[in-house]
Amino acid sequence: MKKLTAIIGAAIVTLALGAAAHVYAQNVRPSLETAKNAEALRATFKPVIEGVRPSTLVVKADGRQVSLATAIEKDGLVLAKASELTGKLTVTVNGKDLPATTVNTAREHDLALLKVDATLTPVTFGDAKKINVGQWVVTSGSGETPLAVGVVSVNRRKIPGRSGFLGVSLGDGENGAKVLQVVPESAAEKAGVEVDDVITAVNGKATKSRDELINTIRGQAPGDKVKIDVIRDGEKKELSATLASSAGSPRFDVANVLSGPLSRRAADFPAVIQHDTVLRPSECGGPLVNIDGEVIGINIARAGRTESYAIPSDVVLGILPNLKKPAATQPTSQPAKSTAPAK
Amino acid sequence: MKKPFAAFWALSCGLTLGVAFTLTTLAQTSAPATRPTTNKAPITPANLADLRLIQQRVEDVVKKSMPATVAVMAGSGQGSGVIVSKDGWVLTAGHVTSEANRDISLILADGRRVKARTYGINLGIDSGLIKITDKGDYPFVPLGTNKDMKAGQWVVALGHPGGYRKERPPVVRLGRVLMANSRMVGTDCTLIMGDSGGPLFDLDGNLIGIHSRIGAQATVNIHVPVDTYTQTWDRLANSETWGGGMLGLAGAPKVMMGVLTEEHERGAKVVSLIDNGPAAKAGLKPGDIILKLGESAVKGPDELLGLMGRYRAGETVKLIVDREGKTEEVSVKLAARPANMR
Repeated sequence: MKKLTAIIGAAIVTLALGAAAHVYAQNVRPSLETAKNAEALRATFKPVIEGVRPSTLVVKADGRQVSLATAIEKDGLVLAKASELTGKLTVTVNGKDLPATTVNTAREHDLALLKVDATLTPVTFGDAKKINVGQWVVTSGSGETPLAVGVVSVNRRKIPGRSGFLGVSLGDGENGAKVLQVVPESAAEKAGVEVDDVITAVNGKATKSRDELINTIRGQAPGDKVKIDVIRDGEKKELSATLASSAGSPRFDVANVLSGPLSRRAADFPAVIQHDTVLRPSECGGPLVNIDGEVIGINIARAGRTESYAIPSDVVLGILPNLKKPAATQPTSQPAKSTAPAK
Repeated sequence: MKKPFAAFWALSCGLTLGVAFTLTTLAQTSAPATRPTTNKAPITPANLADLRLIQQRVEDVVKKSMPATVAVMAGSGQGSGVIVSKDGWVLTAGHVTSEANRDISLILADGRRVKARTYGINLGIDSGLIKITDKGDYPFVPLGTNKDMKAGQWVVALGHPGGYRKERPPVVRLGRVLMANSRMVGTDCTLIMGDSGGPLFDLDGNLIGIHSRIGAQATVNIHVPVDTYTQTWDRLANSETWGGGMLGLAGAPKVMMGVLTEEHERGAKVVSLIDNGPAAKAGLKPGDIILKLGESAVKGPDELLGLMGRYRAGETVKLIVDREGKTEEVSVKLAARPANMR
């Protein structure tokens, strides 16, 4: 893996306007009022989501929003982001949290088909074949104003799988890899890894250096549980971590989560449209529309600081017939190898 | 007088210093001509018609600019760049090339790999220049100017986030100008490593900035103003390396607090915090004005940085802050700045 030049968001650097600097640029005072996702701008898009708003629902797991849902049939069928659906599921319809059951799951696309006892307004899928890079894309929630807006960044492509990610930046320590930084919300932090810990073994296999540890972790898949031996203040401790998914080098991963959390399953998709909308992981699962209000896809992952993914409408339509068959009678859709999130 | 955003959590700090570069004498080359922004698309769209107009302009900019956007493969470093002349001058960020007179390669948007050479660098402002050495006529973009930038002006960013990937063309992002001065342009075009050196365009397709660094929030993305390239073109084209201290690691403390501050008449005002960073863990909040670090008065972001240099990672420092008019004491355990930073 190539090292990237621009690295971690970690040093504080001075960028003060030097007294001697001659002014040749128009000064614009810092302000977020004119940001792309400021309320006023999003409100301009209200008419665009009028059509899909009634079909956009909230899915909760144990009472907490984990995904949006897209209603696809009048008799209570909705699509949601499968890997976020752990716990007691409800779908909010007309302000009421109604119990939902999982009919089936297309793991390779991370889409789950849920059934709820309610009459819904299904979406009409539009044409995702005629997409221009740079065109507006709008993400609806259940409110009048869109959740967020963005543009298409990259047209349809396959997203390969990723290797496991612990979430530390490392140096060489005595007989192990020394932890220099722990990524907030990462597998490492959740496992209790601390700065200055020296990681000496993973699953009983000695990791004598930074490189050895990195190679060992790379060999693991996201979702894998690993046992980590650390030396902290001279004492040996054993920690258990569930690996997350990595987008690249550890340093890239640190920067990637600076501006907000990412979806647990954010890679290994057969086909997605990449857009620059800043979404929360729990805002995936709902419809993505173009400026004409046509549904071009379903948001499926917050994949990085610069990227969100949507499954194109035609791909969704293609898997629906199989998805509607009850799980037991259906040959398992191609399992997404090692990429399923840990349960 | 308020200094905007004086201290940043920045990406991309690394700059290799001190290489002699008096070897080659270069023909004087003048910078390509610049074009003003006309910006007929409305800054504040009032309705769907305005939004469609913006969309049309963005799609046009993407089509015109994509072929001139390149990946820069500079040894251990990788970034982006943009071709600005038919004979292959390429603008990038200073920290991408990191030193003058290096032989590197570029990957064009169509996948072609070409040989190139690094030229001058302004370390202070993070500008850098490259010339393609393979003979040819290259697709290029026109240089714009920062003279008439407006708050909220729409801008398009291209680049190779995460580094060059064969199956993925340069990645498009849209944003607006949120701040600008002679040293930097801030937008909400989201950037990440690998984008460094990539182009920022106005809706006429004129180049107005080069991606440089980011803050913690998705709305803090900093670009080098294009005017600095045109103003210092001769120095860059003569492979001069100058400036420094602003972005370089030399002056940056080895510890971090995880806080973005701005100038305030009484101290350093907290603008934002890194989630779960040392300052956030200590309970510091946006709006807090840092008055003292230890026993020393903090007059602003610069002083805060200077004072932090006295401490080591793991040390707990006492801050006196003004929170909504009340003076409070906060203890922050400083963390190490991650190693291997460039």
